[in-house]
Amino acid sequence: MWDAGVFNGGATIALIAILHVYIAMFAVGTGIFLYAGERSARRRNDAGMLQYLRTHSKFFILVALVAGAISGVGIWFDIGLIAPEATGVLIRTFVWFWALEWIFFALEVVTALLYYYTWDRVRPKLHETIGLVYAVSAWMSLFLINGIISFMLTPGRWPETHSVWDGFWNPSAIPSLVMRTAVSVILAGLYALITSASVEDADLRSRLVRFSTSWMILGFAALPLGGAAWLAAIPPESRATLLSGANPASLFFLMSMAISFVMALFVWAGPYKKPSMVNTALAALLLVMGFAATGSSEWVREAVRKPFLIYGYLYSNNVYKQEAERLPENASILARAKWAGERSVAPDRELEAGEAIFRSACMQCHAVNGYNGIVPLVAHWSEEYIEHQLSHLDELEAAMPPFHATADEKRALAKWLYAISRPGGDAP
Amino acid sequence: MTPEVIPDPFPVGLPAPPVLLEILLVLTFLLHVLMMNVLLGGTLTATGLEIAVRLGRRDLRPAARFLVKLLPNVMALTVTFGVAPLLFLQLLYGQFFFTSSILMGWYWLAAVLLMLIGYYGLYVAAWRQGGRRPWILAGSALCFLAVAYAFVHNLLLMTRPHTWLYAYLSSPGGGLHLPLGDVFPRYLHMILFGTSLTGALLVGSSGGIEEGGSRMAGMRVGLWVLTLSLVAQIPVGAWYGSTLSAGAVQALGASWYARVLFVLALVSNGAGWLAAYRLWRTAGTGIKTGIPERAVRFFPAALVFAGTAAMMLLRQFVQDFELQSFLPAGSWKVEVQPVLTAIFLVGLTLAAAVVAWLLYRVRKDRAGGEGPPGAGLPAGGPPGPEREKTAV
Ligand code: HEC
Repeated sequence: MWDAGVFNGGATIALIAILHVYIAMFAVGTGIFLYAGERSARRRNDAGMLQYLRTHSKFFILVALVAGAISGVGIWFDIGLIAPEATGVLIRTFVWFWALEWIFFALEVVTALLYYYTWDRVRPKLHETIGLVYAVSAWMSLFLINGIISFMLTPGRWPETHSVWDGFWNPSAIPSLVMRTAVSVILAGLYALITSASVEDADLRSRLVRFSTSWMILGFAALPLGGAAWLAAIPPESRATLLSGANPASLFFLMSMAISFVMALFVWAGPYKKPSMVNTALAALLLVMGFAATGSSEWVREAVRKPFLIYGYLYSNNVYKQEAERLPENASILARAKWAGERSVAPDRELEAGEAIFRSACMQCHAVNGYNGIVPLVAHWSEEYIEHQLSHLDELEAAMPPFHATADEKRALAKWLYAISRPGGDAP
Repeated sequence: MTPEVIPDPFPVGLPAPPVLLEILLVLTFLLHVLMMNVLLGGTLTATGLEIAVRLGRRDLRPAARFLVKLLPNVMALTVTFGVAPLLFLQLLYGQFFFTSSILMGWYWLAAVLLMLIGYYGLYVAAWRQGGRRPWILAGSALCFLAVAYAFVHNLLLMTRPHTWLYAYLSSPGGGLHLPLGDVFPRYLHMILFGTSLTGALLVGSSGGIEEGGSRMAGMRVGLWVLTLSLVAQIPVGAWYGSTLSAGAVQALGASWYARVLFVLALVSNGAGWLAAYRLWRTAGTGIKTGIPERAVRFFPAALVFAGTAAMMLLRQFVQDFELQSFLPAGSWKVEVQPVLTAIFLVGLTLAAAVVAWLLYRVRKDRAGGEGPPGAGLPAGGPPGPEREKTAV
């Protein structure tokens, strides 16, 4: 179990994944945007717009290819660090989908570079075709990855059948795909809005703003449809968490919806109606709002899955549900933990044993201090009370998996938690 | 004895026979190594060339320019071709690879950030003029050197489960656990592969430079880089060999496959050097054969890469040997997904065909469009004044 310090592994994946999702969806949307934009500009012989698209595609390469690809690699590195068991299971189940996704990713890279380097150097028709291959490949990678990500929350019939097709076409796959495609289109429009805000020619700017905002409006219209279908498809416990209104996941969910709604209003009442009033500041504000909305909804998706990594199959602490059900309530955790330096609770090493238990059973979700830190959570509890609660963790907080340990081990963990959470306690 | 920290087998089987997965791992890894060698060696060499240009060697400018313009694209392909072998490695040897990554912790994750910084550096160097270019390139080179160290360290740590538990207990947040003396020979070995391939490439590409002085200067530098790298490889390779485990050495010695690969590596690198030397002596025209000059210029790089590839296959042989002895029974249980396996293989072929077709069409259009900018092309966008700045 990796000890990431104050951050806790969960925080690192949240950070990288949100960044990556934002950039990747932007790349998908912009692919479609560039293709449609170039096609329409050529039909209308709009030289100004073509010149704009050309500049736009340069920044697109910088952001999408570089940051998009590297943050994607970052996700691979990070999920291996924080959830090796789930990553292993996912890879073994879905490797061909990932491999297909890789093919499309490679096509994306090649065609994005070609697209950029061949502006005005090949026949317009061929250039459009390159753009089309890019757009299709980018959307296909979204389609393939979406099946795997949605699988983690709604594995559907897979735990019984172990059929990869059941896993891929899981209940929330299509609703998520609709939502993600809609967001991609919105982000593409948003980004185009920013770059067009600085175009000199007022007439061209108006045309561009109109074009990019109509994209955003299209996306905003599709978003609630996908969202409603998604809510209907997720596990009832997760839905209840989201709609209760009284926990962080639910608040973030509401926030993400509220921001999207306000953005839609802004875009419609502002630049769409009056293209002349757009400026870089407004566009940048929208971009920040877009990031906040995407970020909180990704965070929500992770949060409602707890205590599972693969819903109903594998817990966040890398224990399989089936295995947990078989374990007697007082099965020794140290005997199961391969990495604990301590093999059992020796009378003179209770604190060391407590720490080792924390590392193997709790650190997947709790830092000591910091992200979901344990110290503030137990700061006002007595040692006895902590020990008592350790037998009911999954009832105390629905987001926690059941905790199996011997009475000695629970006492040692309680002792350690109590020791580190006192003011001046020796928290590492 | 198998250390008990090795994770239990995953409950889900492999989706195809291990042989197929291993072949895919090796093939995609070779593509990755090809790109990665040019990237690492190229960034180092380009830094040196740019410094030389800045110090007044104007005749090296075309050679430097060639590398600087090439590198961002090489980086894109390095990453692309890196993802696939990473996937197959995790599939076959996930129990080892995940563990060694976790043991490195932040050091492993930091590699991602360094890749990003290095990558942007390459773009800045390629797109901006100005006096700071050598420094930007040097920064990228440092990033890539660090990333390479993280990879070598991880892949080595992966094969040493005996050291894991101690490593974890001594620094649970992650660290660089292996002694420098164990990692360094292999690390230097890799870097020298990179510079030798870059040297060979530079001899060839400089052979195509019009202006005579710059052509000879570029080829000369390329030949020097190649020669020095190959010479240095002899002691470094021997040093690396001496750090291999006794079991691995025995297995290498007993295998015909390994012996043939080793001879091939030596012969191919030697032939690559001769081809480069010959090209330099004939000022870029090469031997008079029926083969077009443009193709002849790539002989040195192709031969040197073939030599590198043979060494990489040997490296894979050693890695498989080490890991197989630790792999818990049942780890390679197979549950074939026949339809998806077929879709993948067909998809790969189709994608390669699409890329080949697009490249062919682009070449054809551009050949037709030679001459003044835009000539031979139907009027599309405005002829870009930007073209000179951004063209590669
Ligand atoms: C699957 C992730 C996960 C794991 C594993 C986990 N927890 Fe939690 N735990 C949570 C979440 C989420 C909360 C809610 C935090 C909040 O309300 O701020 C929580 C809350 C708590 C609380 C406060 C409960 C309350 O209602 O005040 C305690 C105490 C706690 N955890 C202890 C532990 C201990 C001890 C372990 C290891 C045996 C553990 N947790 C393992 C996710 C987890």
